[in-house]
Amino acid sequence: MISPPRFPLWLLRKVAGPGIVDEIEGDLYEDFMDNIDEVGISKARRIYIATAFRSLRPYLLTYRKEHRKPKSKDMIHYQLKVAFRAFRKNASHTLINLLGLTLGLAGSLTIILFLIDDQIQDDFLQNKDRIFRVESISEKDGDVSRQVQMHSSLLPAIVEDVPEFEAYTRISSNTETIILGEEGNRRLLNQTFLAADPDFFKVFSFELVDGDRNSALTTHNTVIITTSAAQRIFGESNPIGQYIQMSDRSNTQLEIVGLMEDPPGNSSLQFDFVKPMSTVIGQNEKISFRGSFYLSVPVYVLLSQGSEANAVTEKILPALKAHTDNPRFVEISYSLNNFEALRYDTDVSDAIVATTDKRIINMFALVAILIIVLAVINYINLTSARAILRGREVGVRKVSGASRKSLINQFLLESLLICFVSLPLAILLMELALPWFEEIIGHQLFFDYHVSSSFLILLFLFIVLLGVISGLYPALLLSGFNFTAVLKGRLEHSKKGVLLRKVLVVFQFVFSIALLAGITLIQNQLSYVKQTTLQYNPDQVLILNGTFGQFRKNYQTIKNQIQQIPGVLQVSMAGQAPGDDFFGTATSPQFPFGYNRFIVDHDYLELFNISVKEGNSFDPNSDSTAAQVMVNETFANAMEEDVLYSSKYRFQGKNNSKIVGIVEDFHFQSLHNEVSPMVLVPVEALSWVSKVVIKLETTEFNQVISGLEKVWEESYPNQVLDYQFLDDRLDRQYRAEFRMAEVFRLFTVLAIVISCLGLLGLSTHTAQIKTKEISIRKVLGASVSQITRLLARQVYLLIGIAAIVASPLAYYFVDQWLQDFAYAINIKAGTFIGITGLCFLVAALTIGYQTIKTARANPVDTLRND
Amino acid sequence: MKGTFLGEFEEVVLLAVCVLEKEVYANPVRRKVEEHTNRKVNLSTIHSALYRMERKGFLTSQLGAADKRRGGKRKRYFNVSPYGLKALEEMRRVRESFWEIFPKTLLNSDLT
Repeated sequence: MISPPRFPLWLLRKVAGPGIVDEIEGDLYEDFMDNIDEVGISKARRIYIATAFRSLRPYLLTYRKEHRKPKSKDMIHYQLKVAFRAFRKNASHTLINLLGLTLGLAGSLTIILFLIDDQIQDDFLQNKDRIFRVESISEKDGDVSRQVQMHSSLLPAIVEDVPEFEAYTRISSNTETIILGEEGNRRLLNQTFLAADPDFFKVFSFELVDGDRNSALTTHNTVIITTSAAQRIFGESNPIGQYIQMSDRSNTQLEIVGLMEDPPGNSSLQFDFVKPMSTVIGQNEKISFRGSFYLSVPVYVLLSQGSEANAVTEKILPALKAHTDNPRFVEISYSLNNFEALRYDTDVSDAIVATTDKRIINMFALVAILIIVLAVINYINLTSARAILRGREVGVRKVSGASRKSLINQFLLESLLICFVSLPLAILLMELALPWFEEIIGHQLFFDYHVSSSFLILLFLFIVLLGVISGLYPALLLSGFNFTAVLKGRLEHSKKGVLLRKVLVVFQFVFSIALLAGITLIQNQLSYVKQTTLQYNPDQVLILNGTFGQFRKNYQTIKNQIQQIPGVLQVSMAGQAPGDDFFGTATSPQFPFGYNRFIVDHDYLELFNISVKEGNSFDPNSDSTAAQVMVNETFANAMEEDVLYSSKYRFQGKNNSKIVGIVEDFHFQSLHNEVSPMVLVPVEALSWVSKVVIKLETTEFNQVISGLEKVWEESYPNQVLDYQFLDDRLDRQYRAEFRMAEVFRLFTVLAIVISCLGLLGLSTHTAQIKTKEISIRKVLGASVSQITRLLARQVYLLIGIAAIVASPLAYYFVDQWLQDFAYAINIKAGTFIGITGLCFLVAALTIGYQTIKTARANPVDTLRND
Repeated sequence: MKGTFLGEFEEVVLLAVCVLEKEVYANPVRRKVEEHTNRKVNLSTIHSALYRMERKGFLTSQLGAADKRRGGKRKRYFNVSPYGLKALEEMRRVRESFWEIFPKTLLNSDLT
């Protein structure tokens, strides 16, 4: 068999593609055969080659393009086209969908970043799982109390006998003042100092840039500086070997022996300097449990690999008993608490590791999920409602042979498109909102999602999932319709999916109303807290913070000097100011209960409008004031006998004091605590005062503050003047609550906006579907208000149901939260009624315009078409 | 005239398609064209014209049987469409309308 040359044929096949090439090839072959008979084989070959080349003409390409089989690429192209047509046709609904998803995504993403931040807290620390804090639990008369501050000798005493302690460090954290510059041009700087044992860097794996991590913290009066502190103090010059001048009684100088990176933003330990423990405890420390005065500090240990915390705990007491038999130390139980658990442990705090309320974290996670669910519900509701209007389109496609799968693909594609358009918008929105959010939560977010590829990949997958979830229901609903019904146009009145849509709307409003009720009650509680704590105008009271017992020698002079400053109304010297904690509870065999001792002067009660219930206040002019005390009502009530004017108790010093008056109970610490029995000790008796409370008569703070600075400069040139307004101080006390409230307010608004968007979309849809019905009603004589009622009735019914479901839910959760407060508001039914009313109002505003527009439409315009 | 124009060569090919009674595919069409025009025509030119005219709607086509002589490939049979026929008649009408008024003198002198 003679065959024609191959190469031209191969080329022809390549160019023409399958299909047309067969015919041409056949014709050429036949011609070739004819030519062999007529002109001989070699000429036939030449002709064949020439013809084949000449056959490569442009029409082949056109033909190829038009006659190939449709590929999935074409299908997607087509579906995209249809999707965009649908978007454009329902522009307002597309916009609502897009807006809802964008808001929901932005809200959730913000919270997710916050949650990730919480997750990666301290993740730079090696051996995190082996770091433990030593704690003790003592039980007295059924009162269990946990201690996180240990006797400073505890670990040095037992560490030899417990080999599992690979390393330990005691840590104390303090704000201390550094003096910069020379005499005459000095500058004071407050910095956070950690004092720690040599093994600090073994326990906590911070990296040193310069200096030896093993020998650092071993030499007295040395210090390790962080890079940012070095930058602040020394600028660009090398800090190693330099000295910093401390502002303390002995004018200590610390030599800088090490430079370390700042603790990362996600570190629980934050500080500017680390110095050896000897600067706090003193050199040549001895292990001793004798003596009435001892230092208590938090202790962190690194357990050796594979050792069991509980087993190690067992060894502490036996080891300790070799050193002391003091029941204070040996008749309590010790425990080891893992470092990773510490930051959620809000029961106790050691001022080293900042704690977060785990419930708030969980709540945030819940809100993040619910916000995105709200947005998805919006999409599902609106799309499935709108999808019915596209019944005809779907029917036609079914008739032309579209499979159910391709219909489902169409709807999934549309929802994916919306999701992917909303993602960049959401990220943009989130970026805009982040500074605001960071201000509310009070710290910068550490996690940088831009550089985290795993986050971005997860986000991508999440969006795909979101698209599929939101598109699946409408897709299944619509593709499942019988196409004859679809083509006859009966779908608009189909009841399919209507119930589900109603349930989903109710769910949205349950969540919105519950959040709204929750936030309202939380706000009520917080303002109640502020009002009860304060019976005076808090922004006109200034608190000056001194160090412990700072004014014990010169309180009278300082008080007089401050009194002289123009604008100062009243001054009081006190041991603590509102918002402070007491230094523990005093106990005495004379009383069956513990009490707080509170050093005040006679001006204090007057300044804070605290009234004396019985007896008298302190008399500043009497010589016997030093032998007097006052008690609060709780104290008086706790005693079985009448204590007023009694002189048989001893409160301080060697002599008995006379109880000259009973004051009303006043809140002093945060409202989380109950008012405890309190004894007011006059400053004349015990002069360890460290606070100056200043009541101002003007709002001209500047002159008062410059006056204060002058007084301060004269008396305490080496100390930073530390003052704050009382309301700031009190706000700080409830900072966690205020922040939580702020964040919840934000997300409540977001939730309501998203829900209302959904409502708006649905009401528009209902109005469109019912246009004809309404027109006919109008023709038959229905009034605009009747029509409006008809349209709005359903929405109100749904919100009503939602309110009924939401109120007990909100009640339950807020009630739980209020358990934390010793003094809490009563939850009133009125709040829920008010909120429900508000929701009705918001809903009315949302659907109002559309409803009235529909109700007022001229029937002629709508009925004319039929 | 319509947007699609029937070229001179196309007209010839189309006429060939009309004249042939059966087995109207590229090779016989070519033979017919060569026979009537007395010139060599490449097969690829015929292909090009046929497919082009199909696109223009002058021709319809269907696939025929395969043949051993063609290497087992199928033939594409072409048929003139009513539109193609109309185009041919239109062509002829235009020409004849010119011939009718053709100056006889020119014709005579040409003949002599």
